[in-house]
Amino acid sequence: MFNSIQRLWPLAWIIFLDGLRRHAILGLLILAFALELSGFLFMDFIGHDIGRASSDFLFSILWIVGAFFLFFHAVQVISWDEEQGVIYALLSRAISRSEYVIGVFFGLTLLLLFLQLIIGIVALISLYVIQSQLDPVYFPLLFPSHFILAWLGLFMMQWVVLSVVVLFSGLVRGGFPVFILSLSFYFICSGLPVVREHLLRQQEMGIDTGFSPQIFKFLSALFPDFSRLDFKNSVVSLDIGMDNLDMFLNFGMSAVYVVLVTFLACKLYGRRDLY
Amino acid sequence: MIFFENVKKTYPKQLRSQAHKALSGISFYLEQGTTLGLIGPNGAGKSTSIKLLLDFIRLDAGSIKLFGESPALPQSRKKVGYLPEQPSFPLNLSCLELLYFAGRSNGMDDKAILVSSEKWLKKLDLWSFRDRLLSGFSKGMRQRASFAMALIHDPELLILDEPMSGLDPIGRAKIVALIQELQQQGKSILFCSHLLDDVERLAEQVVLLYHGRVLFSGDIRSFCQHDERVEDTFLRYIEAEHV
Repeated sequence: MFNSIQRLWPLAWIIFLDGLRRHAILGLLILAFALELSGFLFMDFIGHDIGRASSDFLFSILWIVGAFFLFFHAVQVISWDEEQGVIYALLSRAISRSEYVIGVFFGLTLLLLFLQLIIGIVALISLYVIQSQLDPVYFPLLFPSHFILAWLGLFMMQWVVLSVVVLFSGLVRGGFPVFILSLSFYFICSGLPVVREHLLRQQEMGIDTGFSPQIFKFLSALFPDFSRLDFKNSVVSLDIGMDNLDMFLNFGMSAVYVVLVTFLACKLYGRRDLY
Repeated sequence: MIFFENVKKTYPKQLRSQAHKALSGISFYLEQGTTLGLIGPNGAGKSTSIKLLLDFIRLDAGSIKLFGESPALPQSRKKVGYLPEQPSFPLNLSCLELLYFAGRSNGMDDKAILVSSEKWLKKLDLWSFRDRLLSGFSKGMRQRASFAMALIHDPELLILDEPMSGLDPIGRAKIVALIQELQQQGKSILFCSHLLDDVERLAEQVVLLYHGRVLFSGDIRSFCQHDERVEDTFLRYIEAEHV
């Protein structure tokens, strides 16, 4: 185990460094800062509930940065390695396929964490600055602990998507198919709760939809409900909208999901021929 | 060190290509301290053999052993240094960062990595470029960096895939001298090359592959009968196959 971590860490580190020095990632960081700055101007056009609007706006930036990172950088990392032959240089070392997959996953996690931490800290400072410039009537509450919870929820959602990106990268060749599959996964995860609500309402009205709740339970296990990790409304509110046990379960189940998907990704990649 | 017994490999049918038999039961062996040249025309199965040896692809039948172990076990590659045909690594790293990865993935500590990096980068004229990003390196410099990566952990076995490919005559002479020095140190070397002059100069054993079959396997002196050059013998074997 210790030896495995000793081999994983240098791989994760070079994935992190290589990603961080890419112009696209630096550009994304600059874009995020520019958007966060533009938030100060944007707030001048909001008449009511400025705290909530500001918080939503800043969390949207965090989500956009994560989405760009996942769907335009992460989806390509393994296919770049394969297309450019980098994989041969990496796997000719004493590294197993599973260690390669986990190393890439950890490297991308580090990069995502780094981006989200920097942008998150700037977002929290921005919220304090906005609050300090306003009359308390317009922005009465701001809870840093709730902000951190919302940030963790958002990061967990993106971590789940990242694990699925790595799974698809081991399953199909080329960045574009991985992009399409990962995007479809995200849309299904986002859309499934809406469909479930709609069908449950129809069933309550006595309309036979042909779907049993068991099917939705099964589908929810495959496509996690991201709304369970969405706490951004609590940043400017006393209530986080969920009891502690539920919250703990949602984070725990998401972490288990990531572990299972990464385990599956290792198994699948281990069976593949690297032409 | 390398045991390749009756190995068969067929690439499966893909979306735009038919199934292709790459190796039809080839066998060869590499003993400690010897240099084996794997030669053959394009599509003979040289790269496939190397990919099988390093577990990049999986065999259909037969047996491969690397230091007595299956290549699927990562520890079997611990004493192997591999130089790919195209030097490829993450280009946004510096030479030292790349060597740090190479050393750590083989269980070296930071101090040993630094000592070994200095030794090989100085020998390969890259020490003054150690902190520069690899994206700014020329092809020859990348090839030398790739060599440093293969050698940093002082491997017992070197697998060199076209080591002189794309090098200018000066770079080629330096690499030939380096390989000769490694031979003198008792390293085992498996290399495949299209440059038969280099094979003649460096190899003690030769395996000639053609369409996934072994046409010749043995000592280079018995390969070149009547004082022929390797290139002439190579052509004679290939022409005999066409008749």
